Amino acid sequence: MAMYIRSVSCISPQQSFGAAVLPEEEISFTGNKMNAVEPDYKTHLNIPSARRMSRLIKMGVCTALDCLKESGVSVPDAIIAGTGLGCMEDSEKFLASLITNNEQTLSPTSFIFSTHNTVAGQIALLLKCNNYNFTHTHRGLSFENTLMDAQLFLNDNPQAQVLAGASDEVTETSFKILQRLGAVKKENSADDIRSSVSPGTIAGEGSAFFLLNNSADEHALAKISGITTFSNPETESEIFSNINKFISEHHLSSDDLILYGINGDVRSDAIYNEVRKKCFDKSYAGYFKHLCGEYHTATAFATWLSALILKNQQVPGYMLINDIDEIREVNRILIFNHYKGREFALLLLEKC
Amino acid sequence: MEDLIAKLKEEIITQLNLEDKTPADIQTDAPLFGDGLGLDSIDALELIVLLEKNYGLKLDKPEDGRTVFYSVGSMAEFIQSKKK
Amino acid sequence: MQRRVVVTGMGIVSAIGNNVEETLKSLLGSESGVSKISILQTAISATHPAAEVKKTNEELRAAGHLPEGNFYSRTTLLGMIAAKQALSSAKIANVKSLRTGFISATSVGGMDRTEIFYDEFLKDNSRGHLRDVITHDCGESTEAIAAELGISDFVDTISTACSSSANAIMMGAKMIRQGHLDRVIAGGTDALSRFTLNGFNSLMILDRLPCQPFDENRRGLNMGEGAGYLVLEAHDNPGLDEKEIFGELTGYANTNDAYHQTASSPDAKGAVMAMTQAMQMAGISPAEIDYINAHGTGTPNNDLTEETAISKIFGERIPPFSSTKAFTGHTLAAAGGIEAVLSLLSIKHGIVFPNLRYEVKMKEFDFSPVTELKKQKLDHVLSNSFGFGGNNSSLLFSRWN
Repeated sequence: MAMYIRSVSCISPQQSFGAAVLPEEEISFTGNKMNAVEPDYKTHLNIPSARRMSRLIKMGVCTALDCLKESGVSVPDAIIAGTGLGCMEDSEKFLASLITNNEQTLSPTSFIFSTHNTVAGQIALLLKCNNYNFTHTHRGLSFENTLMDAQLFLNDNPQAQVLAGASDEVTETSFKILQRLGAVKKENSADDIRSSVSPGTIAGEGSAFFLLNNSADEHALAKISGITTFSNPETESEIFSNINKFISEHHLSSDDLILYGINGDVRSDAIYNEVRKKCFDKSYAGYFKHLCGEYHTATAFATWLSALILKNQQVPGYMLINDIDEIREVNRILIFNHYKGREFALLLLEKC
Repeated sequence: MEDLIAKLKEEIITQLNLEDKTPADIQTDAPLFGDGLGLDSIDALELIVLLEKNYGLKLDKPEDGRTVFYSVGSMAEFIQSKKK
Repeated sequence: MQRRVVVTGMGIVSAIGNNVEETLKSLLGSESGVSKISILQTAISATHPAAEVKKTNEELRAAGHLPEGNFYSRTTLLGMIAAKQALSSAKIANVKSLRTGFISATSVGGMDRTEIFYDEFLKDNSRGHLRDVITHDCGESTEAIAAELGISDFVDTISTACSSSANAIMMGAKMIRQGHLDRVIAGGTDALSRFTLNGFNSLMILDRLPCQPFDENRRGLNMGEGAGYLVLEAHDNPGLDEKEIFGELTGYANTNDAYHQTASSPDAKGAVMAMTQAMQMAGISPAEIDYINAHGTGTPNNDLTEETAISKIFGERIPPFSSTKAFTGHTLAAAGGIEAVLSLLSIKHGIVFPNLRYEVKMKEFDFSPVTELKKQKLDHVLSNSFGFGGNNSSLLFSRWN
């Protein structure tokens, strides 16, 4: 695998939109929910169709267009998007309406915009892009499968520019359901997710888009050089076997920075510490979900973080698990993440 | 009729989520579609819903919308005509 | 040199049959599956016919040999049955003997259960059984089926509205051609739900009568439900000699109309590009296409666009074409998978399936779909799936020699 990130754009619970370097200070959260810091859409998404767009679609389209603008590419050869839950707000609205109105006289807009490929479809519409357009909706691997698809496309079309990204939103309703499922912490939680001993996580949301191509030139922010995904491992040794294979294939070493998808849920975080101890005990260790929260496509945020770290060679202290010595040089970042202990991903990025 | 027109303008803004517009921005007899307010076929469906929900009036075929929804004025006339 | 992709297995469940044999029988007997809604509890069943799979969820669970007490959405149940059939028809004894993937498509996943949850939740947000909402997301049915089949090398879910399972098949083919996998079970599943039924009704594109694709007086589509999966394999996989090869996936393309969120363009740009690119990939000229299994939903918009595209590409020599949605209804994300199975059956049996209920030619064109069963050797069949968001996909299946 080899793809180059030409440009990025990210909306998240941090001041990420439009940032060329990582913010010096984090926006820290207590409690159980993080909402995205959204840009002023009247400035950044000043289009007539924005009036119909839910927050998810606005976040997705805004980051996609911003990323494209940064890259200097006007129409990409492919648009590939990922989402775990899709357009929740529109789905909820239509569902509520059909129940309340007993299936009579229903407003169509929220149904039209509820389909999972709306973000990719709206981007194509705005750019008048007739090219390849896919949306992957596979839970905690929606973003990784999107990247895989981008790689397949670039292999078949070496000169191509691929716009790829992922978006998810948390709504009041979906959050209520997460609460009832016991998926999130109590409202007054002030746990540090690195050491939490309670169940539940912090719900998050965001969108990140990337312009990917085969050009290892001075414009490239970072290289994506490996992805491995696996689901529902039956034993812990299966997890380690996948990781060890990845380490050996990519010759990972103690100079690498490992970003762990620790989310503060005591029921499923243990594996991260196990992996750190047994596979990466000498490597730098970072984490990211205290910045973006937990959602199906949080690794898109981690990839944005990684691209900027590798380009600027700066690792903010607020991302490190141990407040240890400064990292002077980062050549490679491995994102190790799982979603609910079901979907696992290893994503390797390198400095160009 | 004036009251109906004023009410319709408010309702259109709400139904179509025309966030930036006020009733003063909508000319009574200007075309709603095409160049006018720039509405499209999704808005046409929404206007059909508006007529039915707020005024109890049904359009049997979407094509009838072309005349009824030409402008706010024509919508008001349609509603008035059905009241008789 | 990329590997060639052949089809060694198929599975299908829809309103016209619970497996390949039943489906073929219905097609040969011109027996449409469109009728009054009887299984889905909906307020509009009296006025809107649909093509339901004529089994309750409990009957589907039993047919799929699935354990009682597990909570499955109807989408998952349909998918389980079809995917297992595909695996079995490909004579795959051990799914782990080669690198195997499962790529499934769905448009609304477990919405059939979510809306039941919502009935209660909306009244009071502490109500509603959580078991009805945990099957909501698109990936849930995929994972449930992958787990049941024992597939873990690569699992993906694609959701691009009505082109979804055609795209799933495309994704599977690419994974094989580029050497990441040796075989993929690919396709899609969607159950009828109040959400989608009313969604399409709010767009005013449902027909209150059985639909008439490509007819001048067509009124819209009938909703359907079902699942269709193919087993795609690399042509050089071991053991292929002992299997029936239903066809080769020689070409595919995905494009975007970029015209409107739900309507297709009058100049059919996206559709023309999709079909043309699929043929180009296969190295096949329009003159060599023997049959087009059209998207043909029966809506004024789609059918006009699709015939425009057919006319532009094929000009003087329009190949036989038909929409099988007059049989199966529009099965949304499952359509591409279901119609891929039908396209391969048409190659295997040398039959063009009729476009039911066609009466009057569209005034814009001088040609008509096939209206009677037509026996003909078919070497190359094009299958179209066009979805919301301007998503246009075409798959080209060829006889394997």
